[in-house]
Amino acid sequence: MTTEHNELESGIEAYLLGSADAEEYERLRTHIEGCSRCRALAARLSRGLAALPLAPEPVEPTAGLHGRVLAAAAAARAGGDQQRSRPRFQMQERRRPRRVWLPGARAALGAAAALLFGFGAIAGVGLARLGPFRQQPQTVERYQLAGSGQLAGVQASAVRLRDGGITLVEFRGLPEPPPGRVYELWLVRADGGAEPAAVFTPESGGTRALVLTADLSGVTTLAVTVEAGPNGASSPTQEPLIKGQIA
Amino acid sequence: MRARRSELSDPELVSALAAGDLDAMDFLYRRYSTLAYSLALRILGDPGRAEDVVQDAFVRVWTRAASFDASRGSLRTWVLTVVRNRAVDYLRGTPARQRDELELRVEVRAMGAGSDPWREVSESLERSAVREALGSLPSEQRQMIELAYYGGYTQTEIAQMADVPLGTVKSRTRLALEKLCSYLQGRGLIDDD
Repeated sequence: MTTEHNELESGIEAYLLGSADAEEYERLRTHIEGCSRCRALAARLSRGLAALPLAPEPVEPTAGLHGRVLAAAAAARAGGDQQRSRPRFQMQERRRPRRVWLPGARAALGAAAALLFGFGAIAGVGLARLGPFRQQPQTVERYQLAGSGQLAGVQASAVRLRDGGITLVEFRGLPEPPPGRVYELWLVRADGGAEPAAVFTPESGGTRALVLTADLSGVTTLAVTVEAGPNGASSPTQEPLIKGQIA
Repeated sequence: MRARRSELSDPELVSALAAGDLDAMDFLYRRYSTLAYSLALRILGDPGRAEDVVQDAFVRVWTRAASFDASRGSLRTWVLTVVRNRAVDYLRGTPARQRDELELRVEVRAMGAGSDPWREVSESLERSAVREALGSLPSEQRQMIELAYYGGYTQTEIAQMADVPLGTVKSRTRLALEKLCSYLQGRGLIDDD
């Protein structure tokens, strides 16, 4: 083997580790593509390299990162020329007739909820930490949901990317539902009609993030109840324990 | 997507990502976020920056999913390679280089694929094996890996820091990777040549 070849071969680790400068990287890359011996060596060494990401102690990121990643992906999709996918829900797809909210008074549910629970104002804020996607303008709306009763301590919010047709709903401090029960998210219209959107249970730490890609036209409120598991109910069987206006 | 999350293979997941299925992105995040964040945090030492890098990496995978070739390596390795490269770029203050993370044909065999509980167990065993492998290296070789892989230093910088010739850095790094490979082959975690 020539001196030049030996020199290039000695640079394979730098190539694999990404520690070569741009010019050297391209030289090495071109050489490896054309040299079967170096290609085999690179393949072998890369097997050891592939194990290194597994060594660090496992640490969970914050719950908020989940929503930010999904929001950034949704923003990237909205920024492209992809067709909007058909409406579907995070956990379960429903095609049931619209049901009217029961029990209790149902008229002007959204306005009543706002009076009772004092929902936060609409904030047209950009999502933080979107990285390179900060440059893509999006109509972003953020809403706070509020809990009551046994869920009074739950923190919940909805981030609506109108242009992308995506709504992220995040929960924190959500206790486990009673045995055999699940949480169910409802899309509530101004006339009180409620459509089931998702059934879910909290993850470890009491957090949960849901992605809604359904058409939310006409939906004024998101609401959560506790229903019979595992599939929830076709219409709410109780007053909402968490709710907030989104329009 | 109708299949249960734990039953999705890499090709199925990649196909759904390439089709712009946000549920698939959700699954990808749930499956690999801990590994990705742990790696980024190890490299950067800053939780906020680590999260930024993880977000950037996942979105890169999302936008390039159509280019992924399952025959050239696993989705996990691709995701983690992107995370590591982004983290090192962040460390060095350089803009994201147009590295083709897809070209690396790398693989660590997961012991016991399938459902989520078994995935966690197999990943735990893999982590233990990799730490043992690193621990078995002579300190001067382990130092090369630590500085190059987790520290993002160039070999020239490592030579200066360790006060050894560049050739010594190269040879020690080569030996370290060879030994890692042999150790993991012996444990059945990677394929034989």
